[in-house]
Amino acid sequence: MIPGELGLVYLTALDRDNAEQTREWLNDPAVARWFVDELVPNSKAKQLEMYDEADKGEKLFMLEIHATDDDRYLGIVGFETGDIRHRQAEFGIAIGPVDERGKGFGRDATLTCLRWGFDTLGLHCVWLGALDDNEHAIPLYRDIGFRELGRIREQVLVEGSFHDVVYFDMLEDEFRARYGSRG
Amino acid sequence: MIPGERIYLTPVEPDASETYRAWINDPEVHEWLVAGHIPITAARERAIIEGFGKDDSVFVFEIRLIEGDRPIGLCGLHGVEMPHRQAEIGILIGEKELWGQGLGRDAIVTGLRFGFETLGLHRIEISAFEGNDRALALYPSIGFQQSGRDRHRVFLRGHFWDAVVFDMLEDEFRERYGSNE
Repeated sequence: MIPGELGLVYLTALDRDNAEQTREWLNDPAVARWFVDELVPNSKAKQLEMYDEADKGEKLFMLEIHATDDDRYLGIVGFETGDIRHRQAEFGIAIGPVDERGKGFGRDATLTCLRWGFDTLGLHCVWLGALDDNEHAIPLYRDIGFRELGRIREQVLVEGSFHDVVYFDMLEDEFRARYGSRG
Repeated sequence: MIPGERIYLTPVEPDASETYRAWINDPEVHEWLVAGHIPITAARERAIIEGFGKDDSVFVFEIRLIEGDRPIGLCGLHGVEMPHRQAEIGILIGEKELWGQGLGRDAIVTGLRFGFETLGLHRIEISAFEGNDRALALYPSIGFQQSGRDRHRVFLRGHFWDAVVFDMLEDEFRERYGSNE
């Protein structure tokens, strides 16, 4: 269990008993609309592959987000790492229930996961891509302190039209300068 | 079953892996453990526990409180090396309300007795990370001698920590704790 930086959420290991709930969220067009590289809907078997991959603890470090007030399951957050020597990872997050958006859970989960990535996984660089019209995520990532590094134009096809993907990154020293080191 | 004073040691059970996982994933319990900082999934924990039974270099036990006969932690000998007759011992007390009662000491001495008297080990090592003040005080008081220091051995909570290494030889154990006979 990883307590949240802002106290709104905590993060736990993935629980296979929640795989169908996770799949339902990720297959929800209101959630999936904002994915950059996930081709959904997922089958049950395909969804379980994520759980198998997370069990290995090698490249996929995905955690469950839970609300601190009543433990309800809110979504998933985590990293997909590349070659270990580079200590870099792609960040991803999904808040599942549409009515749980805008309550600060995503911000807390992102900050908490970033600290965990830098302090526990020993990452040097965290990066992510967001669709150009994702007007919730892009200001949030900027506000959290990610640096916008550029975009690949018309990189992905979403609901019949091509969208740019805007890329952000954060280095470990930038995180510590902004949010402090733990004693 | 390996008797201690207030506790006894019994082999770990895959069916109890959710109990072990709850301990290890608790930030207060894993503060000075290497495990648990990356939360362990149920399948992974079960695979680890099942693996212990297949590997003759590892002997991991559940620590059970005799009073009430309930599991309170884990204690194990890892890296058992023959013919060198060496191993490393490790411990965790997962039931936090029982911290500070000498049960960890009881379990370590019991684990040492198993290592020296049953496995026939000659030397058993234990290490504590710098900052783990309770362990750094406990291990010498059990009779371990500091044998070295591995600098910046682990990365936890954004920092590298030295491991202070202690060891005990079979004669030192027998002199201090006698034989179980």
